Amino acid sequence: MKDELLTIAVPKGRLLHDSLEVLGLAGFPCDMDEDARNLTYETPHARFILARPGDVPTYVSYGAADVGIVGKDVLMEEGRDVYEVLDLGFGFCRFVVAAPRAFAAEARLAVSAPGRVHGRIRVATKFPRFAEALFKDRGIHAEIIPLRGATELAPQAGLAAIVVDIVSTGRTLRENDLVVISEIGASTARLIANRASFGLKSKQIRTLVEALRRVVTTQAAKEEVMPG
Amino acid sequence: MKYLAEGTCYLFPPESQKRRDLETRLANLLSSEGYQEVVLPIVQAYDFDAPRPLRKMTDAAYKFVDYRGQVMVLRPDMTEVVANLACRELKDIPRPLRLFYSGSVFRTRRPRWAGMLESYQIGAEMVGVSAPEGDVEMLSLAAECLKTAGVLGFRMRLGHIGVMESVMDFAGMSEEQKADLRSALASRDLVQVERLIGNLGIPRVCRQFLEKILEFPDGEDILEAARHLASCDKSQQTARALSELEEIISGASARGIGDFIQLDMGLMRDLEYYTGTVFEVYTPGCGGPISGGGRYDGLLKILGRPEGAVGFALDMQQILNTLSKGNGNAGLYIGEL
Repeated sequence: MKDELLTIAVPKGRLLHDSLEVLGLAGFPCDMDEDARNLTYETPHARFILARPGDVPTYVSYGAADVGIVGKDVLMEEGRDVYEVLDLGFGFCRFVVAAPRAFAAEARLAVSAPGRVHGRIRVATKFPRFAEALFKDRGIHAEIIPLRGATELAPQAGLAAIVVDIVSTGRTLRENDLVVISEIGASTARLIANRASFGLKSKQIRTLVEALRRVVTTQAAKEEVMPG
Repeated sequence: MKYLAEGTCYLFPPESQKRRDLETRLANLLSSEGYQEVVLPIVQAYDFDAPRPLRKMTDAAYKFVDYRGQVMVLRPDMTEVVANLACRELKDIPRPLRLFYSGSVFRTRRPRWAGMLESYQIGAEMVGVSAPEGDVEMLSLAAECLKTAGVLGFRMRLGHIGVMESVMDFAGMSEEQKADLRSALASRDLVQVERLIGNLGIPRVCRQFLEKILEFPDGEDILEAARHLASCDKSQQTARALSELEEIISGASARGIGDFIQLDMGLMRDLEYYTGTVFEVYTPGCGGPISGGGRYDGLLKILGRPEGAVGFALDMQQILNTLSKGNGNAGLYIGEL
């Protein structure tokens, strides 16, 4: 193969800083100007592409990038035709169902006890496929309303009764008078790999994974030692 | 007809000519290797009572109702059609039975890299042959087809369902645990696999072997780990499956295709009827497998006529895309036809 360098897709936004940090510590540094418009970077160690988080699995599943970093939340929504190789530990957030405080008791019943509440409940979310599967699984009749972001607005505007979203600190929820009525799961950043690259560039991917694993383990140990 | 149906497409020259040309060359190769062509029906009757491994495919298939109210399926896969043929219409034909076919299959759930819902396959099946001969023949035939097609730098990722199953048996896993592990491996969620292994409470030698798989080791490394595990398994089940796999690998090397083969013990195919060898072929420039196959003795057992069977299919569209790679608009044709 003439092209032996790995192409790594990193997500813009929330996970970018930590992604670049762990990659740097793992021996794949990339001096990326986080405000600039440049979306591709070439270093002696790898090629980097900067993509929207939701697009990272797309670049990787088509093989336009060999590996990528993306939140588990995005993977749960965007399907799984990629190898999910390593839990990178950072970017922790929780998947929750939230409702306005005044409606919380009723909503809790509606999402936990199928059949107790008749009619369907309207759910606003950035994760429509995930939410659809979740409610279907629980046997709850829900109408999923896909939004691009700021789902906390939907209950206030009367668009939906509840929301399915990710929260990291819970501040946005509190500020909008929403409370968590059901915890669904947790999400952290993951290293994903293309199916073909996984075998065809297995040496390079193995090197990256082993180095990242060391970085992640060291960082986890540090966090345990450090107080607070 | 105003619109194209979802997930289907037209092929124009020169792509249409390239596909016909490729198909002709592959068909000639398969005939010269002693495989006889069968033309298979596109529409099948839907069997509500089919056993689970068969249902998994047809449940996700396109369905419609014929004029009598019978539910019909657009074939999602041709191996099952050939297996049915071998068990009924061709049951008295001397074995081994060597057949090939080409045509479209239709899948409603296709991974994104695969694009279209209709995909055009050419494939070969051999019925009435046991391991390792049949497996070696299929691997080298698949490699021959890819060379004939002009695909460069491909790798055949080889696994063995029997080895994984016997490791799970030896580990004393419950049916539910096995199903979880299979599904995590099939969906390539290695983070989940690692988590499952950690929580299983299985013998150390099994855990070490499963963890080893996740490191994508070189062939000899993982074989070494598997041999060690097999020597601990008193039932000999792992040893039997493993020696079958090793015979297949050395048979393939003797045929000169050893360099194309990459061992992947964690390989699971999406189709549930495989029972022994499984393989997927990858090539640079294509995000997913361009070919896949394996041994499906279990399918013939389900169909009521137990015998050995092994086969593979090539995804013609993916191969053509790979061949015309370099420009992202492989199918774009501008001008007069």
